[in-house]
Amino acid sequence: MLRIPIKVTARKLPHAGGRGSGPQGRINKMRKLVTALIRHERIEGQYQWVDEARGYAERLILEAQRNGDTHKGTMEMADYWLLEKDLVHKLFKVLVPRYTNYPASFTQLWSLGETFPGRPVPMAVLELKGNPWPPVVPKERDQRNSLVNILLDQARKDYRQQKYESIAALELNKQSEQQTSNIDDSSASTS
Amino acid sequence: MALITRIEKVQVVHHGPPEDCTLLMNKDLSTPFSVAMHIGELLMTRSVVALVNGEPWDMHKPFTEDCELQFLHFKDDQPDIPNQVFWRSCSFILGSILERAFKEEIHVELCSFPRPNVRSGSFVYDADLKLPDWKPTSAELNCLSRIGAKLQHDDIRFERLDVDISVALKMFQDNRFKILQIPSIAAQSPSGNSVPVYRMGDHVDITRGPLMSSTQHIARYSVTTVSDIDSPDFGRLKRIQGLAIPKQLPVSDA
Repeated sequence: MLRIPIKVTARKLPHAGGRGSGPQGRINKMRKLVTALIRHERIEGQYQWVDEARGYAERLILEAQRNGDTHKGTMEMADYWLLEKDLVHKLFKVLVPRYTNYPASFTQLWSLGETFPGRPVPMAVLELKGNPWPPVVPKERDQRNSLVNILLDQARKDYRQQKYESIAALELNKQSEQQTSNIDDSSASTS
Repeated sequence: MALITRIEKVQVVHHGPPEDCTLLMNKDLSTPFSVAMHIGELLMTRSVVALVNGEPWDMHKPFTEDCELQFLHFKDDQPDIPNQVFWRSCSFILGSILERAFKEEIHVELCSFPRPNVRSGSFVYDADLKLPDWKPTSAELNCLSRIGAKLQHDDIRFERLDVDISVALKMFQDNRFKILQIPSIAAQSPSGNSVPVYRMGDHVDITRGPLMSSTQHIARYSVTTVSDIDSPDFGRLKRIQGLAIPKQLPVSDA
């Protein structure tokens, strides 16, 4: 079972291997992308291409993990999808150990938005998890304890405290006014 | 310099960006600032204080032994130490302003400043201004603030010196508060008779430290209030409070 959502039908990519290349051109493009992903661990390309290649890469790693390097069918599959044959060793000796007991998907897809200027083409980055590169999305700093934020927090607290006190004082005034008016009424009625 | 006749080396292991590295520095001569000079300009300009073997350490205080070194700045995940150091340095600067700002016939005697507490919203200096009925106008406060704010262009370093108790008593002989405080401060020091003294330009004051690397970290500096307090030990004093923002944390004034 793959760990990413995929469509059951293959995505139509009519010009993936060049105009008129047909279904075989599409498969060749996918093989190139999967090879590049296993080689560089992070690739950039058109969203629809790398998204489609992601499924093949996930499946390849999953099969390698399940069956090991002694299984004939898996080895043939790795041989077919990896155009550079040294990557077969990388798949079984580096990636399979990396992803043992791994609960989530092995790859991550980041959308980059559309190209500009020119014809808008949605671009994306596909990467293997646990790669050695710096993270795509930088770590966010925790700014709560910065000096300015501490001062602002404290000022906010003081302001709120003042507000509460003024509201409480108003309420007290109102109550005392009501009491005094009640006394007036009663005194008026008795007289 | 003449006190060090033979230069020895210490091994300094630096942790943090741009990368971890090990340097051989001169014992009792090299400072964390000289390590920063070897590594890069960013560390020289943004580092407020160093962490040597887990202890806060002045940027301009020489190494005494093999150590592990880290540089701290205001945008760290846990900026408590830089914040405290900045607040303490601002109190120190407030003292120098009080000594500089008034006319010559007014002899200001600085008393002390409490532990820095950023959450209180202001840094403090207690002093005897010899002006019992003085209520400062906003223009006068502005004048005091400007002396502090102008220091950011001067890039004056804070330099530490541990002096003997007798020397310290001589240095502060015209200040009746400091003379009383010096023996207890010396008693707290590890050797029992040394007093930590800091210098910023021509202003010298006693503080435990550490202080920030230089005055260029200040972006905004303002002296806000002057009030009367009754100190249990020293009698009636003026408490001067101020507020400052470092350059690394820009704020809008709109």
